[in-house]
Amino acid sequence: MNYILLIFLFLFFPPSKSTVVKEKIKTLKYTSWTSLRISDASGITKAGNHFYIVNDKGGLYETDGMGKIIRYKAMGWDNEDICFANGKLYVVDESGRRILEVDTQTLKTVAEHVLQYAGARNLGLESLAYVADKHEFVAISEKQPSVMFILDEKFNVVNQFKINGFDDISGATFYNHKLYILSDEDHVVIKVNPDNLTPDDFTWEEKWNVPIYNPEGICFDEDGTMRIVSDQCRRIYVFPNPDQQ
Amino acid sequence: MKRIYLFAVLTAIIFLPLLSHAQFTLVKNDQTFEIGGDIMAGYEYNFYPQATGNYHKDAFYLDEARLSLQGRINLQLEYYVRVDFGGLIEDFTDETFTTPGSEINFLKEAYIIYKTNIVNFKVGYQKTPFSFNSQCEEYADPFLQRPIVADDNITPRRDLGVTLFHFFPTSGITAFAGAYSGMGETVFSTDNPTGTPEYAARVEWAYPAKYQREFIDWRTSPVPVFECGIGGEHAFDGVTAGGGYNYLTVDGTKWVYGADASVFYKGFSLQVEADQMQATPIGSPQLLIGEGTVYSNFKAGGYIVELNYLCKPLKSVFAVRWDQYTPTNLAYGNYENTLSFAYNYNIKQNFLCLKIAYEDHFNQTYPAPNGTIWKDDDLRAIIQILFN
Repeated sequence: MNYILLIFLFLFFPPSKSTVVKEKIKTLKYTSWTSLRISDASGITKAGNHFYIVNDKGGLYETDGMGKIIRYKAMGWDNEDICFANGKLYVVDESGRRILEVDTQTLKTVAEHVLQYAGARNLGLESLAYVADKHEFVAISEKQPSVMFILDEKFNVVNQFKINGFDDISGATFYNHKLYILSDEDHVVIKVNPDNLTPDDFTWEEKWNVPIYNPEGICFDEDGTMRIVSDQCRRIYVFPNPDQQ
Repeated sequence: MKRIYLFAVLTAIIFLPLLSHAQFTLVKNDQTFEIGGDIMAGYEYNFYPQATGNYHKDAFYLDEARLSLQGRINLQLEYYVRVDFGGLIEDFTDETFTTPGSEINFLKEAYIIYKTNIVNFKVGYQKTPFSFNSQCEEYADPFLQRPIVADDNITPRRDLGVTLFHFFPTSGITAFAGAYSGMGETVFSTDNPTGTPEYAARVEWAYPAKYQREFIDWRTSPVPVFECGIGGEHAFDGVTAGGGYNYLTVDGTKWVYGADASVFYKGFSLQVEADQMQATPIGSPQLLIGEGTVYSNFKAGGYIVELNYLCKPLKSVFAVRWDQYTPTNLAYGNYENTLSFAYNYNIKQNFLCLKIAYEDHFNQTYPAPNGTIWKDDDLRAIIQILFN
């Protein structure tokens, strides 16, 4: 009788054969890395000649390309990602459930946009990117589940859907008419056509493995050089353009 | 009681898929408030000795039914309250709950953290910073029972007091130091006649990432990640009570030392830990008698080695663990070895998973207080859900 129960439990949750198929993807090689003097760095973007990094401690740092700090401003509680759009910086505060609009000259917060999300405090919105071709923002929750929110420029939700196939989503950026999405626990980057940002059409054109522990933020230079920040390792990694590897 | 457990398990099975998205955070100006918890319910089967006629331990059981409330005010203040309704059932059914020496099972944590740039303060009922295994949550472990040495036998896992801690980001070191009642989980039923605090300290280091209290390599680390820690405790209590061997607190002086290390790489994770207690009881001379000789102190302690493998394509964790516990060094060959095997099927990582674990206790030489062998070999299967 006791064994019948155990057999029942096995049958109730059988391993899915479809999950056993292993995907072969290319591993990107970084050309250099530098230690950051920023703990818990979780998002990076480029604006002009400078980079901007945010961290889980509510900090915004203006840096050079290798993470040397130029300016610092405290804002928010748990900043998880940052993007540059229309001359301003936009910072997503995960536990504050808001997007902060920041002036690049003064680093002052000029507006706050509240985005309600019911998930656990540290499983909220983790990624933020501006899709310039469509004049839309993309915000993605971390995991359980990873949900993509498409927002207009006034931060109204115009579409939303679950992203399946990844353990989590940790960062996003827009470059050369494509959206690049980063997964920390799967340590992969995917390239997505912005025309496919709908529930039924979402898929990716390319997928690369990035051999980094805890990658949380991603951005590109104009020449396609890719930078990824590792939160727990406090490092910034530099990769050549993934499309040319 | 069996009917209650059966009802709980069946209810959990039916509603688990719905609960798996039950995560709540409320935000109000500079405050956040979060509701979470976990449920672990399943069945236990024991491999009894042949002469056994009582099979009451073969039963459905509710391992955990925890509710946690946590909040944050700005970046300076955090507060946590965690209770376990599974433990509440134990407290209700335990007739000795109000008597000195009995441990509370309902309240798991209730504390406030105040953060400053120099040091953080954690005040209230909390886990004492001692070893990796003593601080980790059971739901994070692929196994369903803690190793004996890390299960409230030589040092309390929780106590009422204050902890100071600080993370040094450049070196990757975190340091903890605190003072506590010394009564551990018996603090709400038992006063400490000596009035002397118990002191605990721990230093932990990790490279290249930060220290994390995880058993499983959920990130399938592309580079090896190494973690280690050392801890120590000193107590001078006036009561000998608590724990499976009745010396969680000792009426005398007690020193406890421990060290642990972990490695994570490509889905594999290895944890090793050693903990040792030396006690000099004043009012419990029976603890000092070993094979007819009276000694001035005695030692207890043990070792843990655990190897886990996360196979993401199969959504599975395979784990094996060996642990040894010596309840006293005053009797030759007095130790218990346990070899455990576990399989976890992760429907949604450990947020929703099925866990099966088998424990084989061998070299059992120490009888329990009622004169029987301490533990039977057992096979357990549970379903676990986290909603935080």
